[in-house]
Amino acid sequence: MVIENPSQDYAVNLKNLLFHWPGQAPLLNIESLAIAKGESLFIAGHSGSGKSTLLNLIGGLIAPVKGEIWVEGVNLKALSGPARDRFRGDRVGFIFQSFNLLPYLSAQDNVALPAKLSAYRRDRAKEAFGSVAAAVESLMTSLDLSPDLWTRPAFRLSVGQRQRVAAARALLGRPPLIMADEPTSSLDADRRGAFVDLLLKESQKAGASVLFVSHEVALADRFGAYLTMESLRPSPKEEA
Amino acid sequence: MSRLKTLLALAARSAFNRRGSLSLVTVAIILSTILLVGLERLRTQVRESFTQSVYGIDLLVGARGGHAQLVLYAIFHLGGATNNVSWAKVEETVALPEVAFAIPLSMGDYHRGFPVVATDDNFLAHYRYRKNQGLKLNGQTFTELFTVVLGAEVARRLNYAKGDQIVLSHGGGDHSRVHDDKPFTVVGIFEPTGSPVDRSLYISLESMEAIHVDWRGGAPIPGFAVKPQDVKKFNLRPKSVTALLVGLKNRRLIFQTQAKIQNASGEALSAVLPGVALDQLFQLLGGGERVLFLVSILVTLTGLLGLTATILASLSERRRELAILRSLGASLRDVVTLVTLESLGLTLTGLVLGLAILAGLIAFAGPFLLYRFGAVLELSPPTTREGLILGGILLAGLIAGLGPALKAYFFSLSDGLNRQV
Repeated sequence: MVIENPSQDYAVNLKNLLFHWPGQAPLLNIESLAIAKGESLFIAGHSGSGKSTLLNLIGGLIAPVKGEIWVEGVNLKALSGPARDRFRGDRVGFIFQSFNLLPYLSAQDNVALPAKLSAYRRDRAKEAFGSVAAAVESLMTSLDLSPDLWTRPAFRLSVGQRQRVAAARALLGRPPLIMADEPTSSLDADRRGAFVDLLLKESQKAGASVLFVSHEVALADRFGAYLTMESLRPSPKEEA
Repeated sequence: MSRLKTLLALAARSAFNRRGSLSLVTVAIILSTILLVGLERLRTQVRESFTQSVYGIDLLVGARGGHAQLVLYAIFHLGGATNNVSWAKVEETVALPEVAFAIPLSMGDYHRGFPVVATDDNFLAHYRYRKNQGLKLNGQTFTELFTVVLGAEVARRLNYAKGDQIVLSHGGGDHSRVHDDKPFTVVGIFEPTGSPVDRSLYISLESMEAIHVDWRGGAPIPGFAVKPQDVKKFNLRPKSVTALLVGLKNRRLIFQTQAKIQNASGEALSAVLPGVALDQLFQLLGGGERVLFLVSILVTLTGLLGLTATILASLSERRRELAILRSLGASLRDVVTLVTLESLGLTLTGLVLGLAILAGLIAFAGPFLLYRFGAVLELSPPTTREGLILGGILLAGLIAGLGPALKAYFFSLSDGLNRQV
């Protein structure tokens, strides 16, 4: 099995991906999908279209029935379970719709969490900022979180503040890939654009690729590329 | 190592965050532990205090008859013997080279339903019950004529104290004739033992003879009454006893000595091994113990199930938290470590606290139970079965914790993180 991707330029590269839950009809059937390094991609889809499943597959949390998933030039299939977990912790920053944070940790402890679980990200944070604490403070400042919020327990933050803390956590230690699953749907409509702009700006600063799935098509024009879940399905002709 | 430290810190913070529901789980474990171990302890001690009603006695000797009957009257002072053992035979038995000591017991009189036992100094010197405990006496012994020592329950139930005068009756029935011409003075009271001693009154063999000098065939001789101060003019040497509790110098000679006593010429005697006989009797009478055993099994099962359910419920609220950690690169081992640390910590805390509280309860309530109910509940290191129960609780806690951990691992992130609440 080839582990090295012939094209190292892709952050994500899917080939002939097929996924279905046991005993159910295929949920995902993607012939090919590639995200170049540094690119930001918006994928639109309604709930139940398999958006979250797609992110779980790319994150290595579930395995495809068929096909190959390459992330940052590594074939996930070639990694053992624990290695896949480590790879995800090192290379992927996740942001979710809600319930992102550990409620019992302060904002800054939440942001610093990836550095505790991943040596790779701890080293990258130190490399860029001198210490993990400095990296945390810098990221929180960039994401408009004022210092009085840093030590506040996560459950006492507003929804908007939580999402920005979650973004800071995803960015800490500059993982090469940021994946966001409906991160704006719990925010007020007028804050959504601002949040996405902030996320994209910081991702670009960190040199990370962004894969953003959402049903809010209005946000799509902020991204470098745009796809719909429907367009990822094979056309009826090919299926025949 | 630092990863384990990180996980430990997270487990502690997370547990503290859920301290409300976790304290409930701990309380449930504490209660299960107290109930399970306490019930088991009670059950074994009920059996023990019955089967060790006498201790260190190797043979019960009485007139030839049923073994169960001999145990009943020699140990529990219930019912009566069909025949007595003559004093000559007593002396013959005591003189056997294998015999270390013999406690003669003479019965037949009662005081308000409690059996009166006539014996001698050997009783105080050699009578042992449960785990080789000797009798503790508050006051004087019954050496003097017309003095009586009471068992703890007799004194408590009839509200007697030292110095009180009591009258014995001949036979246990309501219409028995009483020895009211020769009252006895209470000179001592035994401390509670949880053995048949608690329910008996003790006098000397000579006192027993003395109250019967003017009796023949179970009734006073008409027109012949002897005043208490005059009984010393009579020969008060006992003519016979009801039973003998025999201790041997060497327990290995027990069957040999048993045969020797039973096969001796003259009066036909029975010699019974009390341990075996008590076990057999307990098999017969111990229905309550078997019910208690059944109840303790049911309680164990319910307790373990409840425990599992409580831990399961408390862990399902952690699924989201575990899913977040998964997204941050936590491996299966990390998640299992995290959850196991917690359920192990909780279960151990519950076990230790439960045992401590139980020990406190036993230490505090044990003497009261013994005094009030004659029930024995003592502090002692856990038995094998109690160890098994404790192990079962620990295992249930671990299994209950592992289920949700594996669930959290194998379910996708969407399950834990994007669920709308």
